Amino acid sequence: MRDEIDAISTTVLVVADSETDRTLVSGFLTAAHPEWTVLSVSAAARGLEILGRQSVTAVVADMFLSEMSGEKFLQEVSRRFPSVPVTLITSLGNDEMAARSMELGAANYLPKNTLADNLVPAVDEMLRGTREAAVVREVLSHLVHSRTTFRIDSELKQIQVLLQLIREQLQMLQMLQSHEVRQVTDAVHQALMNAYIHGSRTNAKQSPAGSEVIEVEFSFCTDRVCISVTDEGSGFDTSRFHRDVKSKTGHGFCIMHRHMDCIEFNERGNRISLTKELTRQATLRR
Amino acid sequence: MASILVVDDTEADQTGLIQLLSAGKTHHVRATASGDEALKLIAGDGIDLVINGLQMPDTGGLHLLEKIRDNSPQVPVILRVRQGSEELAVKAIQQGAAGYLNKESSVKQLQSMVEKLLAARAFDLARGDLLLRRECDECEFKLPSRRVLMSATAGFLRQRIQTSRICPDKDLLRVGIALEEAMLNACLHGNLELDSSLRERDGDRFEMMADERSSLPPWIHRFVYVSVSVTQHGVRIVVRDEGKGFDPALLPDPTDSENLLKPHGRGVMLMKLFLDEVSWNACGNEVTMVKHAVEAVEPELYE
Repeated sequence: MRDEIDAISTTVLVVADSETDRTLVSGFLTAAHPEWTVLSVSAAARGLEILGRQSVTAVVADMFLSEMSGEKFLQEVSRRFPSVPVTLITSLGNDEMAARSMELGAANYLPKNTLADNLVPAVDEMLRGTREAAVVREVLSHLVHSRTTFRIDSELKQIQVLLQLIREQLQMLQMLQSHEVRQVTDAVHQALMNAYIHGSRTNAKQSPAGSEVIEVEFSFCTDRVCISVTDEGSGFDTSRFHRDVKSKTGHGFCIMHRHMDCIEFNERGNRISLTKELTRQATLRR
Repeated sequence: MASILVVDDTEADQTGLIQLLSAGKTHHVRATASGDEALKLIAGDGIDLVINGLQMPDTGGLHLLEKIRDNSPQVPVILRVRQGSEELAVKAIQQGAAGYLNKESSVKQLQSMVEKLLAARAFDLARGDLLLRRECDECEFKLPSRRVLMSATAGFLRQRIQTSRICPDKDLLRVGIALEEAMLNACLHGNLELDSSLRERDGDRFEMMADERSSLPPWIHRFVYVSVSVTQHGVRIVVRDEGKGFDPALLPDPTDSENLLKPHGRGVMLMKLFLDEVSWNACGNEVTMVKHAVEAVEPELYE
């Protein structure tokens, strides 16, 4: 697979205001790797536009860009194109700026006076990282089924951590768009809060914290993601759900209804199952 | 109450940091000037954050950082340097420092970094606890017959199995090795029908044929199916291929240590050594491997 990935053409995007810098960086890269395509632009906005339009393997950007700081540019790239690594270059930096850039997710940070020696090794290293990430993505694209069940205490902190874990799993699986990941986690949050507030054995939160349990099952197969939440309460009248959704009362129910494709309850009314269907494209990708 | 360890060779800095960070009594702060003592304290558990300000060039900050990363990778480290450089800062973060400050940094910067890292550490601990509260974790892959995919997927599954902590780390590492062997067997011998005696005679040719066949019919239409299920009782792994199967009785005797060195049949031997149960279906194209959980796993202590 390494060979297959190598065979895919490498495109590096250079973003710098100064023409000298652009020429220098492109020159070092093409001298070392004549087979690469090196694109260079002067404006950050133009750089982002190219990233949105075509496949770019890695970015080298100046820390000081006229209309957007390198840091801001880095954050934009990490947010919108998380699989594209960025190396920052600067002539006006200092050690804390370097550390901050790295903490923000730069793959590397290079003072301009070291480019002759360090640019090519740094970009090579950055591409190695990209390939490793591509291998993990490929592995995950062959995952056809996954199911995890948790038994957590009915307690806010554990609910928060579980939500974060589910969010990370959804992001890692790359089968939903980022706004859909947000929608699913919002819906699951509502289901967990319902279990926390109403799912008590005693019907009121009087029993000592942590003595009650919520069971959560998180599963997915090639065409859907399902999350079910079961509490220890006596259950509720599930016909209320449809009434509430219809009359647009019941904020939590409305969120679940809006964000998920299918919502089901068990007979007792103490388990809710939420399903999100994957789009045809996402299913085909797998 | 979070526990912070200050490692600094300047007494004034030690005292200053203790006063600064213990104010408000929300943190318990200890200090030492010795890297070795710091490592002992960190290994002894209970340290949530290290502020590392050692300046000696060889045995100083970066050296200690590396040691902590090797032994206790879960503990975040802030590197504090007197004479910083961009190069050092980049190196520190690349080597795994959670934060970097020079000694001219403001008190406010240090405090906010400490709070941010402690919050992240608390979250990591809660996350580890939550992973231990899984009743069941199972997944299934359908993989094209390419050998690099076998190794990469085995690596991914090994990490997933390791978070369960149902056995000591070294046992789970071995489960990962056995899993990779089983998957390679299924891919190379099962689906791609390569004979392991060819590998003994001509390794290069073996590799070449594996590459070729993986993209040609009929081999390209065969998949390796792997399912892994982890519960509190143990790990169960099933690996199936779409080849003709084989007769496990024909393999070299696994109890004879000499056979261990031969490439032929070595994978199966490792599987039998590392797992509690290994069995095949009747036609030999599906292997099931089980590792039982070890009760009450103590966290491994470092020397």
